[in-house]
Amino acid sequence: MIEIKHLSQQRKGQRVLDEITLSAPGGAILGIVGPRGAGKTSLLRILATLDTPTAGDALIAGYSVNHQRAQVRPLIGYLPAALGVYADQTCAEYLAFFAACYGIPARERPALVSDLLRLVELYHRRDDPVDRLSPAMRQRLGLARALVHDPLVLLLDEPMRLLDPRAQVELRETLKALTEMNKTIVMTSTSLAEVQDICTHAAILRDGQLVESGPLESITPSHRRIVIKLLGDPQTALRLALSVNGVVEAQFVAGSPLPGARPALALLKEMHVTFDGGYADASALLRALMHSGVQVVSFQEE
Amino acid sequence: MSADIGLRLNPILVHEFERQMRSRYTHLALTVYLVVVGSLAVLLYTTSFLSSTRTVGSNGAVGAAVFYFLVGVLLILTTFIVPAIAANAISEERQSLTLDLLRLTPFGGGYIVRAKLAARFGFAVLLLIVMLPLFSLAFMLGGVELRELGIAVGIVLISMLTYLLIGICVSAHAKTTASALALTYTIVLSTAIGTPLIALLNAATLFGRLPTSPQDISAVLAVLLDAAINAGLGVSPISTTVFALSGLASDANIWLNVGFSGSAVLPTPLVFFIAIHLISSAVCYAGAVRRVNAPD
Repeated sequence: MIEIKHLSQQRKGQRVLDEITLSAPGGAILGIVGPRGAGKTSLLRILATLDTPTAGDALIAGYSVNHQRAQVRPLIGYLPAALGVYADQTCAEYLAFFAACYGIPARERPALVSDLLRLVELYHRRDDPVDRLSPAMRQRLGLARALVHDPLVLLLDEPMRLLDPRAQVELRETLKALTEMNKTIVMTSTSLAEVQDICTHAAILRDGQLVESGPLESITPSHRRIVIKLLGDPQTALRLALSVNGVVEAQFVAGSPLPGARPALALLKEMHVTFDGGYADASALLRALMHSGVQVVSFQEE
Repeated sequence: MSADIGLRLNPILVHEFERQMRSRYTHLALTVYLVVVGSLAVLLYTTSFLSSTRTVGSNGAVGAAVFYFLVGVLLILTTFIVPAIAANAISEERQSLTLDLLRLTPFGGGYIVRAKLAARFGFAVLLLIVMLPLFSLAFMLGGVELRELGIAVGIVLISMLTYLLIGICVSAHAKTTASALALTYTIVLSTAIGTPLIALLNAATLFGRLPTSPQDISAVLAVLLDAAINAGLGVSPISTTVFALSGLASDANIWLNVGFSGSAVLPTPLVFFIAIHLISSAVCYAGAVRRVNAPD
């Protein structure tokens, strides 16, 4: 469904995207993950035909996003990171306006608008002006707008960013339901953990370069290592670590003196924890260590 | 039913009209505009009527005074108000992050620009239409011919179109509405007021037998300078209207006349005005469409 071939983009002499090649089959949820400035939004804007690459191309359903924009545009629904709204419109008017823009016949629009508002749980706010919605609600309205013409591919730029945990869960459910309708979804995120529950495929970008891509199982390592630097009783820390869900192995490596501290007090210990749990488990490990009086100096996934 | 008409009419246009007419400022601005213009016209009428001697044709002089006043108001409106209503057309969409969403719809840039233009042209024409009862006052008094009104309204409509398209084109290229507004006003005011002033100054210097006038201008150069001066006057709707109406008043040909140098018969500023404004409109339209279609 989506094929990106050797895609590069330069802006003001700086390379924003460098030879990106990846693909996602129909019905997949592709998560593009990377820190800020990695090139995620630039890649998504190129896929959305809003930007042009300096080299390479991307195909959506066989159409080039660079040369066949008119064919690509009806196939995609794009949700930007910051949604544009008309302050004078209500939620229902906003969706009806875009439905009209996409040529949906007038007699079909009221039912379509109601269905979409129900899908994103904004039906009760249908007559409210869009500028009175919270950022999370706007995000949901944006998703409804992106779906207004029933596109094959959804391009979502950081859709979880403004959502509270409950709304994130709801959005995940909505996205899963959409893939069951055979829609392909491309979404960006700064965190792999944020998308790994729902994505079938992932691509990791760093400084405009593709670090890794493919089905999620091949991206997410089954075991990760967490490096914990701490002060205090190492045996307590070790016992606690091993009692937490998801911890496969825990061991101490040689301690190193804390810079600038008195040698007698400042032996910094480093514990390596092999881990196959989720981020909630990692959080539970950190909490357990802190509640037991162990002074955690750093807690980092390698 | 209305939605069906909306779809045929272009949803962006319908939304623009809704936005204009939902704003209380629109109604307030229209009311204040009518009250001010109407009051000034009545004041002018009263003053002219009371000060004129009661002779045959004195009503005609009052009617002509009211007519010229109203044409002046229209020209001021075109020069000072129209750029303001155009300069936010595209930049506002860009600032509110809706331009990308519109560009992704099956509509091309041409569709978006035409919708923006039509909505604003409609509003500008509305400002013109609400003045028609005042124009009827001038006709009632006499002293004004229908072709005078036709020429004046024609010039106003063409310049409205041009200034709107200049505003929309600048707006499509500008990052913010404020910068679009500043640049649009710079272009419109320099062409509407600056260019004819320079043309008239040149005419006076070259052909007015001033102490600095060169006395040895060749015939060909004189014709070229004449054409340039007429073109300079034709850039502005204000100078074009003044020359066209004074030509009509003196029963002169409003399309061809003898130039300032007296050396040849040339197209009048009105002809240059039509050509310059229509070409400028086409160029600005193409520029705006190209920018809206262009990826960032």
